[in-house]
Amino acid sequence: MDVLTITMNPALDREIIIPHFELNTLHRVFEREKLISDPGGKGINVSMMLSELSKTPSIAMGFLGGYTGRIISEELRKRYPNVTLNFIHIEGESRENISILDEINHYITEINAPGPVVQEPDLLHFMKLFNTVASRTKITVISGSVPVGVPLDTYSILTEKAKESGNKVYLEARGQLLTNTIKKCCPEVVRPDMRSTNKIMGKEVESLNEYLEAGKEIISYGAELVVISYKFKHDLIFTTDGAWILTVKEGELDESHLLGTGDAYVAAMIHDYLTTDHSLLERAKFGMAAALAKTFYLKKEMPSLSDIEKNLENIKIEKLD
Amino acid sequence: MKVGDIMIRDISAIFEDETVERFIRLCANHIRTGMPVVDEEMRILGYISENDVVNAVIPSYFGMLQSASFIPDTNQLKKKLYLIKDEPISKYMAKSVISVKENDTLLHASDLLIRHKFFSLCVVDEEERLTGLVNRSRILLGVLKELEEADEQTED
Repeated sequence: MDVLTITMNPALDREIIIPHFELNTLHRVFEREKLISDPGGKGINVSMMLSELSKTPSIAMGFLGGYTGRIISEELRKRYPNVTLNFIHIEGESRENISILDEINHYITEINAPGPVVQEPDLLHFMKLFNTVASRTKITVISGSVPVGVPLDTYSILTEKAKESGNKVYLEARGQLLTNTIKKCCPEVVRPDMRSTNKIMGKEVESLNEYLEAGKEIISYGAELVVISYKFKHDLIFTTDGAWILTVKEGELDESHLLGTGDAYVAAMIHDYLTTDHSLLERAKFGMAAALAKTFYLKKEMPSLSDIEKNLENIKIEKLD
Repeated sequence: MKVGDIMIRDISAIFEDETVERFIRLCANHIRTGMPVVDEEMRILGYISENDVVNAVIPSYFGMLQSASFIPDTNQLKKKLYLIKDEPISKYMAKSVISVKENDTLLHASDLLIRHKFFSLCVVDEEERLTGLVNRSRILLGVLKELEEADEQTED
């Protein structure tokens, strides 16, 4: 088993498709397919997408709680036989993320419920299990937020331990959690989660220059590869050799289809890492092509390898410095 | 069909130095009746079940009686559980664990389940590390699937 994904705060993702969604109105949904319940949380998403993409087996770890937690583990068990579960079941309820998708007006409305509180014995148990499992894997994906009770330096401790056991660490997070991890023990691959923030490393980013500064700062802490999404149609790629801007050549991106694009990005880069000897830039481009291919689907669904390859041609690479 | 086709890929496990109380809480949260006990390499050291704990808190002579209902309840359960709740589970777990490999047949797994009166078995890899579980209903489900497939073939 090569891949370990960490989802400290998993969620049950409920997607409801409602054309012409309006506030203060009763919406009746007549088709069951328009009410989707999927296991979620960014690490779990990567596990599911790796399984869909290439049947790549992975171990998923984290905390699950209560009724919602049991639905998450049951759905994973039923639908993703390539995902080995290793969750600690705690008291309290796992989160629920509700997304209301309106394909007509291209709106996505999201409601994220809080997760359970993790108690100290559960966290200690997790840390011990993590050491045991990471000694068997090659890549550790640490992604998403942490529930209450999990200190903000946890990701840096996990990164350190994963590196000690010879893992490459992929991190996708935001805010203080991201900054702390980068400063204390920087993972090899960092993708700041920009979905609900315009800050990286505690600083606001708006101009291209500010983005470039932020990316270079993360590299200076020891990352091999940094990927930052820039104004929807671009990705900024940083390595120790410099910075590049990747741009979608043609076609409009549908904002209501962005669900899970970041996770498709990470899953594709991992697949690429495990199966090719591509350069970091090529690997990032492959990830971006997967994210781009994902935007053709409304749902959180992994595009096929042939779809990803088709989209590679639609990406322009320019060196920045 | 092999064990690997029908097993549950869940490697939830407990370490031998965890307490009886921790085990009870984990089982309650997870709706499980027992858990594999592993070392730091994920190799199986034992299996602890609710039964092991219940047996430890019930006075041993109860098993010899047809009914224990005539014995006055003197909070025996509470007292006993209080005494052992902080003890390590290694003291109460079953140390000889029978496991199967993913390549084993369903017949072999069912034979072991019946012979040893188990409800589930641990599945391990070549290095004896835990990779999942298999239980009676999963085996039966696997056999049903085989029957369906055989039916489809005769229809063709």
